[in-house]
Amino acid sequence: MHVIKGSRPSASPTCLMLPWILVFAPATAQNTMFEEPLSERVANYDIDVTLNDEAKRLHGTVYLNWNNPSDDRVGELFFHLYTNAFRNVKSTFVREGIIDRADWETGEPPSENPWRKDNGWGGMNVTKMTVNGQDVTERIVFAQPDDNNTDDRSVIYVPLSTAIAPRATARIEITYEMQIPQCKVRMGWWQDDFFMMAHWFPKIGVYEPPGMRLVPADAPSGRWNCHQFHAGTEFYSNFGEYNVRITLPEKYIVGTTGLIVEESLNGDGTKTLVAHAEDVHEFAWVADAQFLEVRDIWRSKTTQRTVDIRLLYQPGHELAADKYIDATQRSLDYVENWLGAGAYPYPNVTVVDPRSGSGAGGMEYPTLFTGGAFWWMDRLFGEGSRITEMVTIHEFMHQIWYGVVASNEFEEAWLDEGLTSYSDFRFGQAFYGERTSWVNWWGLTASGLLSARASYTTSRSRSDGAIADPSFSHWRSGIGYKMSYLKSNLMLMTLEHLLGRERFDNIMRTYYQRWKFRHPTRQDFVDVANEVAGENLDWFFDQLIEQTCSLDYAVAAIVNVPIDELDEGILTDALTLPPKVEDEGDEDGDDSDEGDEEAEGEEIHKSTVVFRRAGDMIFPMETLVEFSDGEILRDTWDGRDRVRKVTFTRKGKVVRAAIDPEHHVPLDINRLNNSLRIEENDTVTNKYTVKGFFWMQSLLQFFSLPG
Amino acid sequence: MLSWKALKTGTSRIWLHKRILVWLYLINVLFAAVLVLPFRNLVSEISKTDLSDDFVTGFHLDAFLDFWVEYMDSFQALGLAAVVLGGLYLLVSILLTGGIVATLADASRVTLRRFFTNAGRYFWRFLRVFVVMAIVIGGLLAANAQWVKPYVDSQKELVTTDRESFYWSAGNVGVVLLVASLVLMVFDYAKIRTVVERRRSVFFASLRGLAFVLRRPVRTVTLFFMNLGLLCAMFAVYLLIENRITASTLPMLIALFLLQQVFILGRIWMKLSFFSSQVALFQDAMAVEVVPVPQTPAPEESIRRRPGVAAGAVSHQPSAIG
Repeated sequence: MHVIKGSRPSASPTCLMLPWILVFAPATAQNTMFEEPLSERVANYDIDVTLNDEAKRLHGTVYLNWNNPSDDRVGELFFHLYTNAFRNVKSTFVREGIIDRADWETGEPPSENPWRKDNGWGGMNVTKMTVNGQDVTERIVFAQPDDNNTDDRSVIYVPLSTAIAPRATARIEITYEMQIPQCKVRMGWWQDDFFMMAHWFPKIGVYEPPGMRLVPADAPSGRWNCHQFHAGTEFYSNFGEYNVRITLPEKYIVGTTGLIVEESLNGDGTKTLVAHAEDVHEFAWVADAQFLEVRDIWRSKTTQRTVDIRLLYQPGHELAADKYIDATQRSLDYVENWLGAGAYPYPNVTVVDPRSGSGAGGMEYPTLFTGGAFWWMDRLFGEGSRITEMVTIHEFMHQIWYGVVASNEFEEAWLDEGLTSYSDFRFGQAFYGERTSWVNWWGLTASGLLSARASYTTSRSRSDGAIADPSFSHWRSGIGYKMSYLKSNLMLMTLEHLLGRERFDNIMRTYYQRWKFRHPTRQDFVDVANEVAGENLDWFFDQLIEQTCSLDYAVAAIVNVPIDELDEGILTDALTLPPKVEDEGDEDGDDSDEGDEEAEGEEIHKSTVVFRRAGDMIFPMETLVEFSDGEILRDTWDGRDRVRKVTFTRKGKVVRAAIDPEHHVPLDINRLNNSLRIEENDTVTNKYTVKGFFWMQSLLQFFSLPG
Repeated sequence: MLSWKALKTGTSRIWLHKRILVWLYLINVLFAAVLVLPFRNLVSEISKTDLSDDFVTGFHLDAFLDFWVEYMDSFQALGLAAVVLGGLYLLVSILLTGGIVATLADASRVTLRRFFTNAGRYFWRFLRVFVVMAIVIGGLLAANAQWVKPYVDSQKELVTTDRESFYWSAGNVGVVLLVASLVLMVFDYAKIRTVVERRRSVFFASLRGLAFVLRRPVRTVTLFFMNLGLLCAMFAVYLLIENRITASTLPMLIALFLLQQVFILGRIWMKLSFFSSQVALFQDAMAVEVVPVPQTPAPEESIRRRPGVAAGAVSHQPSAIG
């Protein structure tokens, strides 16, 4: 990205505190969430906005106290104007994610793609900005640090005439107007009276001093990290305190980040709410005229601390409401046991069931997240489908891996999405069954593993990128999603198996405790893992994070040869794919009736099992060999060689061989080749032959309908 | 004739010609058997692995994923073969429908030879009926996509709950299915008129089929939906029972197989019931009685008035003959 370096210190300017005091003092004085700040609180916002719901406009003023976290003199500021991603088809966000690139490049006229219609666009305009009382409005320029797309206006750059002194506080006042876009992704209005207000105010970027994240400790100065709004990746901000005053028509029911501490009617059909949040790095709110509301309280079994759960849900979603509340309660329990008391540190959480079709579902903001429910699905499948629960768990766990441990999601999305996906997989299995956490309906079952593996193992492009690649740089091709959500999730599952749950949990707990309310990098995660595991795991992380390796181990062959008929050529043949079973006894016409089996049992065979490393990742794998007399031998193969031949000379023969027999290594892209039996599972063959025959008969009947 | 009586009459005629049921079943089995062996070979690939344990009592999607990924090409080839086979089966069904309708309209016992003679006689006509029907249904779907669905989508954007949105979508699908069903019914009567009245013009037979339905909308639609209701009830019963059979033991597997074959027989029965009851309704409504179909096409002598029916009862149908 484009990096702007800081400059040397200068004097601190005069403070203009009056607007803060006038607007927010009554509310903030009475409401303090935490006795001591939990975070560094670099960016502290007081915001006063008014929503014109008919015009879909928002206007207001941001009063920002920005604490220079460095010893640098900071001579420029960077801000995100995220709403401008929805300004037109030329923004980087729309170009990357929505409009077909071919259309864009050929300049074809607007197609039926709804993003190309003229209506529903929005944008943000800063009408005035002062920094420490100096008007800098004229200095504002748009910046495109990531892709030089000059049509993108999601970042502004403000050079200052007077630099901000080291460790000083800059008071920044921004007056702005916002045309709220129609909600297509994450934010905006829908159906006139639903407003998902995320990224609704100018937000300062992150100034990273030397030693923070990827800035070398011996760098001469820090640098701004302020990426454009991209299609796939999310956000990165400093922690701070928020006091937000929202004026809007009375009819709206509102949910916000933090706590609503005051609500008053203005007598003109509008009302004003004041919300307060501490130690968060984002603030979102939602307003809907038809929200229904449920409140619940979670109580810690160890500390008796409580968390208020507030659910705002849609009419008709009563069944889903129960699911939302239940999943949130369970998640709060589990995360406390897993990561330590007070792992979810805030006093409340707001769960939002957004309008159907709004595109606002499944998104996380501090202490507020949106879920996803379908009226018909809850009625048809009941508890047979856990979509609502799993989305709730996933978004709740973002409260931890995005909300509290605040990595840079533009650059290392996996530190949030991967850890969150792993968490929802694990929680789901604990709550709803190891094999049934997603689906358990009429004999059809699926676990979270399916969703984690499906897109990754089936993808031909799974090795086209690495987890370490900047997420925003290859999101369009879909690789970013596979790396950030899927491969990283599977990596953590595999790591859990490698180390054992207890050691793995110690890593996660330590990582959480060490990096809560801070901004870790992948190296920080790896360092914690190495330290807590008590061994160097770089070989593991290098292959999976830095490189593009994929893991695939297979049982290539089982060869059973009576000792007096041995021909070594068979073993050479066995190294070829597909997996094969050579059974000289069968070839000799020995039918497998009981008498023959008994005879074979006494016969001495030279049995060879061939294991193969088909992928480029090296990983120790458990192996299993089962003999005809029922004996099972287990071993661990370091997995380094391409092929491992194991030979036995003994009575009886090998009837089954497996690598990773308990499927503990979900990274393995092909589990079908992980085992081989010399005799088929007739029950399954017959069952699905019968079923397949019937399916074919039924299909033919269907074809004959118009006949 | 009331719809209920037509259904009863139709049922008794199927009993009379129950050997058709057997023939149709055997043809179905024969076609399905073509793909069973490659399907079994495919299944046996997973049966050689430990993943097969996940399919003994249920169907575990996690395990199926690996199977699917490894054998995607085989699945696609099987799917393509099934579609091709389905197309052939459709042609065979069109061929057989001539024999079915002619047999059900006939008072005498059917022989294999006569059945296939009639099947051959009406094949090209029924093929043309199929083409006309495909055009009508294609037009229906196109009209829905062009005018109805955009309207439904615009209404869905106005409603504020997904329940209402679901009702709009379900309503749209329901109406399309309903209209398509009625189109199928109209063309059933077109086929019946083609056989009973020895029509050669498919176009006019189709129009006459439509006219027949329009003149007796209550009876024809009631009869159609009585048959459809029976089919749905049979399907529901099957699903309820099938869900309780895990097929993890040989006796259970045999029970499953028998249940499935009974269901297939039931579906074929219902196909015959549609035709049989509609033939009965048509013959009664038109006040005609059909003598055994001759080996060569015959003019209007083949249709004679039922005793006691006024001469004018069929006088409005002169053009329907020949």
